[in-house]
Amino acid sequence: MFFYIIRRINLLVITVTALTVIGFFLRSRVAGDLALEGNLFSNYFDYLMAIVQGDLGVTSGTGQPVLDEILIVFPATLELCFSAFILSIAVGVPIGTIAGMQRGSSLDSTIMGISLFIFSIPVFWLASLVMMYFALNWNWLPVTGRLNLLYEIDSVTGFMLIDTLISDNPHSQDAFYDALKHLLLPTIVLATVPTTEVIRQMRNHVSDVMKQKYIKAAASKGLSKTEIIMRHVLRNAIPNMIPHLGLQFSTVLTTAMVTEAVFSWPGIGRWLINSIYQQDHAAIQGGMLTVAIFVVTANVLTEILTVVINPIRRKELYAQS
Amino acid sequence: MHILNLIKTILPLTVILLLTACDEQTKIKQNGLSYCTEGSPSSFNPQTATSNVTLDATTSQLYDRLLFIDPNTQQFKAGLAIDWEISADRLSYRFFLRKDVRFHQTDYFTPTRTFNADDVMFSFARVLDKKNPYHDVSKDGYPFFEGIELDQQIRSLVKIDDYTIEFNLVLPDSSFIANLASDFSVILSAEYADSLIALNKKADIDNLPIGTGPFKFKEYRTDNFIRYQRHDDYWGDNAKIEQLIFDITPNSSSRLAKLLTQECDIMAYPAASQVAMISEHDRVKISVETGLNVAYWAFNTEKAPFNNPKIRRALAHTINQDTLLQAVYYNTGVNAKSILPPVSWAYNPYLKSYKYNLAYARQLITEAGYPNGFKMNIMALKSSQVYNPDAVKMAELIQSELAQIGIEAKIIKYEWQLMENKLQQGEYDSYLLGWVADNNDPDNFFRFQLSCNAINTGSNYTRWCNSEFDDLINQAVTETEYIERVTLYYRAQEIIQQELPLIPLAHSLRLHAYSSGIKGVETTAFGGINFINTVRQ
Repeated sequence: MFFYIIRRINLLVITVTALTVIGFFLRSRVAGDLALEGNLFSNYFDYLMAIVQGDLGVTSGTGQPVLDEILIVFPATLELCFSAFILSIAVGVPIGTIAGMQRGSSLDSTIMGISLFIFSIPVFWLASLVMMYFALNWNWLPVTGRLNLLYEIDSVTGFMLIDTLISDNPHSQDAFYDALKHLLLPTIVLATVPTTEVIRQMRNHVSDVMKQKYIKAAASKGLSKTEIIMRHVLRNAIPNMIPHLGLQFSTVLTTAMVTEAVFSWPGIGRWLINSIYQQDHAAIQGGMLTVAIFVVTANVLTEILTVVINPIRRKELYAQS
Repeated sequence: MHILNLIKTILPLTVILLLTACDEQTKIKQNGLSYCTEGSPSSFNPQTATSNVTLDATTSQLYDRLLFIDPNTQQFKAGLAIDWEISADRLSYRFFLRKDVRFHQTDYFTPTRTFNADDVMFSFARVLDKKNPYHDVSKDGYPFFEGIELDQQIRSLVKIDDYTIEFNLVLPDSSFIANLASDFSVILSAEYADSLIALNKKADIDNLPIGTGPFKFKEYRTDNFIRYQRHDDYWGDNAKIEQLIFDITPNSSSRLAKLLTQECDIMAYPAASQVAMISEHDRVKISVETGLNVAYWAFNTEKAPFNNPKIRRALAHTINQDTLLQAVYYNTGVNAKSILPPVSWAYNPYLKSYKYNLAYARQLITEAGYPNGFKMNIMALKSSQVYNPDAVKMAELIQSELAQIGIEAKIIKYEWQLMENKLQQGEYDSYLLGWVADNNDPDNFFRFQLSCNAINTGSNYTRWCNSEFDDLINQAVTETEYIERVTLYYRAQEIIQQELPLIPLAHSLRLHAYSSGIKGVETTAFGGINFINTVRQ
């Protein structure tokens, strides 16, 4: 187990190093830094040291350090991704379970049909559509941003839902609900694709579990259907889901950038798009590196997590080593 | 089973909380106002500004001027100067300053004294005196003041006592006082400037502003929003709202969406094409003011055949202004006969317009020696401007008219920076451009764009130089009698009408869209928006 974690972290270090090498060459090409005196390796080493110290340069747009700006915008993106994730699990797990329990039934085909349909809707189109109906036509929800700007909330964690709750603003409670309302539409849009993925995976795993003999044994013991699902089916199906969720995370992060652009969500996606418009190379490069490191880290962490909570995987591992 | 139980408790709780949340929201909205603006300010000091966005975001909110122009009467009104005297030779202007005016108190500065003559001295010294420690703090200089050559106009600025100052001019100039009332001529705090020198943070003066205006600076997040708070010690009546937000939303459809969902109370510059759609909603209303601006089609008068006034007049006959107003302005503009808009006091109503008549245009061109027409190019700006929502479309309409009389026009689309380069180099036949006035003085329209001197300083791109016209506008600024000035400007407009270095096409209306509960937003014809009397009902 210990060696497995070491191996994974090794992989993480190698991948991140590869990313910084790419970043280094990109920057050299763009800024013409290669012409600097000193050899390539010492230049790269300086670059690496700067990154380790959190120095990603300054943006040409505002003259602020890139890292400071990323720390403001990235939590907004993460907040959106997390809430979309939670929503997709909350919706996807029960629906996938239902479909998996009755695999081959007409209900199963309907669920799979609908989720395939939803999967094939382009995100930006769906975003405009929900914006038009929920915000413009019916006026139920706000259309853009994270919070009504009239609420003055200090950024502590960068997560608006938390910041509004811990803020000492007398209107902090209203601000919390306002933030929740702002979060709702982008979350729904962002959650569509991972939800269909969760449904599909959940259905497969549940139907696999349903074929197992211990389910039949449990049924013959006289357990009710709910008890079988809660005790046996979910407990065996969900751990298998986790590696899939980890892979989904990078898809969600990419989709989030499109969603942000439509909803003017002040996250890293919109920030990167603005940086591209302004040809702000330091910002583009710093932003990409941050996102890439984050995705790689998240993947490695889910892999480790899978092994930690799933005894079957752990056994496989011991067999290997 | 515990998971199910958890869900059973959380779900209804969330629903109840969400439902109760709705009616609480109104409180904070009642005391705040959100204005959806189209861009980020380049600085928080109007002295250094060129764009209307910067002026809208700063002048009337954060600062005061010595005097300003009443938007209704077009008369000068007391600002930080309660009164002023002009000497008989009209060379010295003495201003008596207001007492007990307090500067903003913020997290970054606490004033220890009230406003006095030192602040006025500093504010103008910064712009005019190259040795002032703050003169070089502005990277972009002081474009407005450099444009009007204020440093050449003023011989000296003298502090008589703590509440009296005197400007001494080199030559009498009637537009001087209008320039002092312009949105650029704000008063900064000398004490704040001194304290920043001590802290070695001079650049902060334009980024963390201190003024005497009705609102004070609280927070700015680049490309996102500006937050202002009411200045409770304002010398006049305090603003009605406590908080003012400038929500920076460059895309006009997003601005409209925010207005319709009431995230914004006021929307700047709705696109001309949106106006019909907006007026269908009863939640929002549109205000229309005539703007002090003009869109025109101008020629390189140094280049054949455009050096011939007859050709220029012929081209004027190919313009169908009604079509342009409909197709480009969606009827958010008015016909232009003169370079001056009809709201200007010097506007000459007796000018005759050139009638749309292609046959006559063709005849004139044949008479001028081009029976087979000619080729020409038209430069147009890609982006929408205050005076012209869509110059490229306008160019296409003109192009199709020209094609009918045998003139083959090529449209070249530029962003402003590139177009300005081309204009400086003189490589063009004609261009579509316009002008937005900085103040209500008519001189502002003529001098920059059409005087002989402006060819050398690089703002008269028509390269048209007419000595009679030049004499008229020079006489007009030294003239004191109102009637005489008007007569001189009437004559100047007639000359332009005859010679046509440029063909005026339209004056754009200035539009704002509001939520229907908003009252008391003041706008002026030459730009600027003021929220001091704004209330929500």
